[in-house]
Amino acid sequence: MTQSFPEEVLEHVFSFLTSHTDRNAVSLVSKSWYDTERWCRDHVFIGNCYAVNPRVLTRRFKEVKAVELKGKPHFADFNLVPEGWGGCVDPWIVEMGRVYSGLEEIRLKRMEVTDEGLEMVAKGFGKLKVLVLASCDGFSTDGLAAVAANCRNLRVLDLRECEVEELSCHWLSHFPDSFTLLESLNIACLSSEVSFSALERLVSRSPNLKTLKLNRTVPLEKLSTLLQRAPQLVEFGTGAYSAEGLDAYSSLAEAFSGCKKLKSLSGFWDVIPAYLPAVYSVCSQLTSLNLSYATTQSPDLSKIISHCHNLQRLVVLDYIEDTGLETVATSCKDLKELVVFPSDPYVADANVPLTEQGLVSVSQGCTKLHSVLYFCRQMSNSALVSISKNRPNITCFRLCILEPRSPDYLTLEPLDTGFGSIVENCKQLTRLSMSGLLTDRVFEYIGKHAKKLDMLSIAFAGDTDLGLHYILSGCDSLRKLEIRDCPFGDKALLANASKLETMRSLWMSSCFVSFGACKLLGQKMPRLNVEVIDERENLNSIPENVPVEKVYIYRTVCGQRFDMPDFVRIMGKDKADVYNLS
Amino acid sequence: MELELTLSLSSSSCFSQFDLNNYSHGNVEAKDNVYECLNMQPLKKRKYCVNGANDVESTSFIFMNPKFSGQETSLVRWPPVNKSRKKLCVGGTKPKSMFVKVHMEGDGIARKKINLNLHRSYRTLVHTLANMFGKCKEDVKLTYQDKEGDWLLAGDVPWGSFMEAVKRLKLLKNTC
Repeated sequence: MTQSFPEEVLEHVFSFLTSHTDRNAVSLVSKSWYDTERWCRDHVFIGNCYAVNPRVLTRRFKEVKAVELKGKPHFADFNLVPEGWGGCVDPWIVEMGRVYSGLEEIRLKRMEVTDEGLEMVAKGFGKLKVLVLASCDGFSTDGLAAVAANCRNLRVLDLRECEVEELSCHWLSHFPDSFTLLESLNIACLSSEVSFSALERLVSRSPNLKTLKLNRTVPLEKLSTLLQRAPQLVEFGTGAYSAEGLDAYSSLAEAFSGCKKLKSLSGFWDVIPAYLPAVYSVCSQLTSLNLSYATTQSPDLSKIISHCHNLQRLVVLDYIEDTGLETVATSCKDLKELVVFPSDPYVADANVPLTEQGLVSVSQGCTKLHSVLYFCRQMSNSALVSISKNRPNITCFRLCILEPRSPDYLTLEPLDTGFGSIVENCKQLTRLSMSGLLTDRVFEYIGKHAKKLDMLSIAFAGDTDLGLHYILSGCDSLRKLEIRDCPFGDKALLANASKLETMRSLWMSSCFVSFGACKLLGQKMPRLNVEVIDERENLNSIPENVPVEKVYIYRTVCGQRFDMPDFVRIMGKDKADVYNLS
Repeated sequence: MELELTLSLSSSSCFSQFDLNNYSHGNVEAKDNVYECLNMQPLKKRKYCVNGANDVESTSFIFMNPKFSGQETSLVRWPPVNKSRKKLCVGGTKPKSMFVKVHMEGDGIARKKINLNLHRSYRTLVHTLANMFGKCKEDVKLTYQDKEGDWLLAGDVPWGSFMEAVKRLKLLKNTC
């Protein structure tokens, strides 16, 4: 096909495409579009770091300004991926350091980051503006000190949900006194004290600071000092929200009232209810409120929420109870996202009056609700049907009934029809997590109706391989599937082998997938890595028909990886299968 | 070498058992699926006798079938809450420590203790224990005493079961 437009025109058109899916689609139109696109893409997203390798990245894209990389599978968040599995970012940093001297943004999720890696980042990318480490581990405050000392252009340092080895409280002092560009700092994940004076000085000299999320150790008494130094804050996360006596109350309330642009509040560990009214002056501005560390009872929670008329996102513990959620339903008419975490997930009967009714109330009252993550102890088909009919606009529905295989508590039947109703009525559903007693029937419904489903999480569900088969053969848009403790085995997996190449990844743990099937799949599908993750001793003497502990299957253009620990095997590939991409 | 896009894999007869056309909804129990199709044998629990004999007894049924309600493997790492949330549990704000005594064969009466809650796998545990006694992990074998008083070789049962059963640890010199 002859080029109808000059490259410059194409590039200009492409510059309006910001989503990576659009960019990927455009690059598949023709070879010349592929070539033009690759020269002008400057934001790259890699959803699975092992689907490609650093060399593939730098060969294809030449002038990258922003990179986003994801490592471990999602179930790593729940400790299902053993330590040492992989996902180390260092090789990426080395290669990108070699080629992308102008790199400005690095976003990593579930990757292992070392101090050496952070030092390489700090010294190799002089233009770095954004460093976001989400659910990462492997580094210490020494690495952070290197970043603080060397990244002269840093605007954003966000350590959300990271596990950091906290060797020193002084790393913040490594930001030079001349450094004034900070816009966002999130250190909520740190459990040790940071030097408050260094923090205060940093905040004082950062006029552009919009986001400040403190960690638990910053005492309430110090909050007003910080807020007075940064009244321009848009997002603020407190530390422990408690103090002896009420002396700090009035200065805190005054400090909050000075924050005219504040839209998001979080933190609130160890809440003393008497201090909650200090935030009332900003409640009507809030679009996001995270009280999920606030172990305080429903009346206090309801009171503060009732002031938040513009709330779009609410994260809270089940202490809110059904009554509190009714308050949400009447007060928060703009609510789009609701998250309710369990206060006591390991106790069988915790006696918290939060039931399915709370969610039904919110689904009735909040017409813009589209995203739900809800932990509870009982559910019924009728409630699920109501929710689906109230809110057909739901795009993300994640329900966790704490006791595995819980039936409809009213009828004692499986929850198949309830979830079936969700997928049938919520036609734009892209993410679903299920729980409770579920037979193969629910998977039949999902395969039939959930045509836009992108990510599905299943646990303790199904009866036979048919369940898995319905999903793999029916869900046209499925890209991520994660399964644990389900009786799915070799048949459905092998019969749908080609589907797996259309997906980013499949995780199956404590199921019935055998070593033999994994080997066969790996042999037949050269573009899949079939990783068996199994910590048992003497793996070589286990017969092929025995189920693996865990299997993680993902498409890749790079063949097998070579940084695997001894409990990970990539099945069905010889060394000769490694692709030589040149 | 292409896989046909049908329900059954092409070519050799050993694949015929994967033909899902042989299934009809509701007629197949999980039990059939497991035993007949996969030709499963129950795994055996290896018993390690302190005196040195190495008896293999088929004493228990370690098998990941969720229909075998309740157990060991099923409720490990459930419900799906992440680490920061787990730490917040009403049961205590600090992660509970689980110290057990560990003895190294040949070290006289010296006893050390280890906090098992800091570990999530046999690998890190053996590594740490070996270091504790100044040995290489290849030179030691880890055994444990369970609730019934039996000494067992560590590594055969899933980590969660081990954590529930373990009372004491002993490192033996690896004579292989």
